[in-house]
Amino acid sequence: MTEEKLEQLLLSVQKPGRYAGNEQGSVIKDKSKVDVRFAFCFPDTYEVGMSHLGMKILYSQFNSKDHIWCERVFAPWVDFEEVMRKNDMPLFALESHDPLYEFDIIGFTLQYELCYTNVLNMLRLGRVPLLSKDRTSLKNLVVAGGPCACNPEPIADFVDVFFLGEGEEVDLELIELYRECRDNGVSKEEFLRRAAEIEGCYVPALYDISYNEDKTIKAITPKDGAPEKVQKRIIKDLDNCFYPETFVTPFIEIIHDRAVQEVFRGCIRGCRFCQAGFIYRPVREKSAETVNRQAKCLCENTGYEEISLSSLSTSDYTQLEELLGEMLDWSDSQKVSISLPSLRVDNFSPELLEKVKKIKKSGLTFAPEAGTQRLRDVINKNVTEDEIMRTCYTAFKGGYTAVKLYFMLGLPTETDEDLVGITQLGQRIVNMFYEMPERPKGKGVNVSISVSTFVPKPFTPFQYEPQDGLSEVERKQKLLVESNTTKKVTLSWHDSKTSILEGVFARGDRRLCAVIAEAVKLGCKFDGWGELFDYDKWMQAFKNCGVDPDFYNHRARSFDEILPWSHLDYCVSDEFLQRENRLAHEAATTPNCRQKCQNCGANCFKEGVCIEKR
Amino acid sequence: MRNVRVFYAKRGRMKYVSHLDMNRYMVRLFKVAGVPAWYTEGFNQHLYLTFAQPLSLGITTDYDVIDLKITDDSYTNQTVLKALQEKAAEGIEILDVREPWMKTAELTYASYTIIYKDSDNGLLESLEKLLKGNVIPAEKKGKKNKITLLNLAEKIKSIETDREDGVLTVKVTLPAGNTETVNPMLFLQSFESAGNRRPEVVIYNRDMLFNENLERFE
Repeated sequence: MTEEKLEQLLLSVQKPGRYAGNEQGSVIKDKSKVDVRFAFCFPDTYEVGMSHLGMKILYSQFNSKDHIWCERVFAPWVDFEEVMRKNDMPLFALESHDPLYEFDIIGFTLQYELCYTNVLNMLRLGRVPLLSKDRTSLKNLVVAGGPCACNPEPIADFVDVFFLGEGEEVDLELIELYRECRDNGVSKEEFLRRAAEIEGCYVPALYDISYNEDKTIKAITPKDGAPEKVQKRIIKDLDNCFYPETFVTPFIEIIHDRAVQEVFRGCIRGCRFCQAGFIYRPVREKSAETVNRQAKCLCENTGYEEISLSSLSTSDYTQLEELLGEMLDWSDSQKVSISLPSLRVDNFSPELLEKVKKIKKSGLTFAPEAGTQRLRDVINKNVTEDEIMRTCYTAFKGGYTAVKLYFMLGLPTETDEDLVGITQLGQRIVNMFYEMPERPKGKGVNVSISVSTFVPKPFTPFQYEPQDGLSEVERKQKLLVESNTTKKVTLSWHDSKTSILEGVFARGDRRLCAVIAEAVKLGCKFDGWGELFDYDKWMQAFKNCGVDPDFYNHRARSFDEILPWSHLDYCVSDEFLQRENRLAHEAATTPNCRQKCQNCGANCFKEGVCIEKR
Repeated sequence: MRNVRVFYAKRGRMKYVSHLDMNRYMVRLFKVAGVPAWYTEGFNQHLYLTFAQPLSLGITTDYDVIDLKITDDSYTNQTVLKALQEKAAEGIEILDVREPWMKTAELTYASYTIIYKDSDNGLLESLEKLLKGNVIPAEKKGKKNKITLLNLAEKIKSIETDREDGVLTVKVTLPAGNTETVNPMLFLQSFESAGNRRPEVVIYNRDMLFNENLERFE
């Protein structure tokens, strides 16, 4: 494919900036002078992928090594895919415009389950054999990491090595092993055996899975010396861990078009539905000094006028007020605004509001997750109605007239009363606004309520729970709409069918590999995109493969069942997860990591909150 | 505080950057380069930039112009030029920085070079025929998809054509400015409506901006 031809084609599609590359901060190297070419693939559109912090970190880190050239590859939108197919053009990387099949290592980040068809479709468009066993040499090694790698079994047949946990160290170790093996003519089999010795590297081909008659797993058997359990990796010292000094700054507008500064990893809360709250343990903070320095550097190098302080729960950062104070020293004069995502209702102080107001007047979003106190206790969302009301009061007093609240539907033990509780809570917030003498004058209030469907995830206390079926979810959504008594409360909800599929993959096993391959053949892609998701095609794929999706979704698992991810160790013990599950059914809460250690298992790293003085 | 005009070229893959995206890119470029640009002082403070003439996606340019104000008088044109040149993305060439000599309102024309692939040698004939008839109908899409019909032939200030080795080069000067702007992309449309195949375009380039008297816009 010549550049000239590509140029012709780019002008015929929407947003050619998605495929053109050449952005400020993108790294161009001389390919004759690098030793390993790494294609970092994000299985979604450019705008989504370019908003992802993990990719920015690893892209910069890999490229900081002279011998590695890391390039970016995104899923082409359907219009460009069609153009590519018509013109016999393989999927290419943005920096060199070289086709995917020319790369040594092809790495995917798995941020959500519904991206699996895109992974396969990208390999196919890049002319890389889909199945790991069909890639017989070390050329085109396919690796993957990210949160979905904690149960990677549904795509185990397609990927050679999965990275468990945080990638900064383990990725480079694997790249070094790759270099050594390739240069010494080591076979792929031998390379994979050696890769399995690296902590945090999971090689699915080295595990045999056998099944019981009831379709549950009988045994997971390692072979060729692979470890019984593969433990995840974490970065111990975030202050001294690599962090990019600049980002690739896209020309076209992306989803999160701003600088992003990480403040800590993990979350102390232990909300029982939240996978991130368990798989990223233990909480490790960066010092305010580091955060401030890195944030300032990023703004100066990218020219961004907004920086977001990112973490799973930024208001839990122990040095937040100090940090904001330091940042406001330079951000004002440099016309940079600071945004704080992930605020909690229980520690949102008037002082913090003062600072946030100085920073940027954007919307306020909080996540009570459930409509009644009982259900909030079940999920261990340690937030009371008083706190929610107080937070909204503070916000309204500070001039806000719109708040957004996130909830979930289909949580374990949920009753209709809990659901109606969601809209009732919305109504009480509206009532409070109009009872406030000091409310913002001349303005109405809007409480927007967004309800997503709960999907049980691996490594959470709810990993044993059944998921609501389609008709039940639809009945509950209807009930919610009917229970809403005011136009001041706007309700929105997620498509229930995508949640079904998400649930199947989240807790699925290797028998789903065939289903995903079949779905791709039938034309499924961008399943996370409502306009492209095709539920009927998916059901056809399940039928063609003789796999029953309900087996994965609508079944309660006993505590002694071998789960598809039982051989993967995220350092949260089964005992802990089972104890939390029992407490959930008693609607009993658990204190957070800073209040009292629950001995979850993460203290094996002896880092972060586990060794903080209390 | 003083007014500054930045002259630049936009080439290569930068042509895929639309006008709105270009605006955001330039704001970041000025920030990264540390140019003490003036910000508006209203509720929504932003760096104050004025593009003399927006450029459509897909067109490169040898000569375009942005105006802004600089708050720190100790920054010379030369300092600003150097700082911008150092940080500009590949494909953006900062040509010069100096005070504006003409008002933006004086901008009247722009010249373009369009190179078509003309393998069957039919394009030139059809273009000549169109020009001779003095009617080249085109549809201009405005805001809210409002379509206005116009006769391109009337709008052409000057046109030269040249054919060599299966390539047709058209050099055309068209209105560009506050009162009227004609997008050179409209030529493609005219070929189609005249019954030709949509020709393959090799290059669409803006060569120069002019005032009413066809003097270089400076």
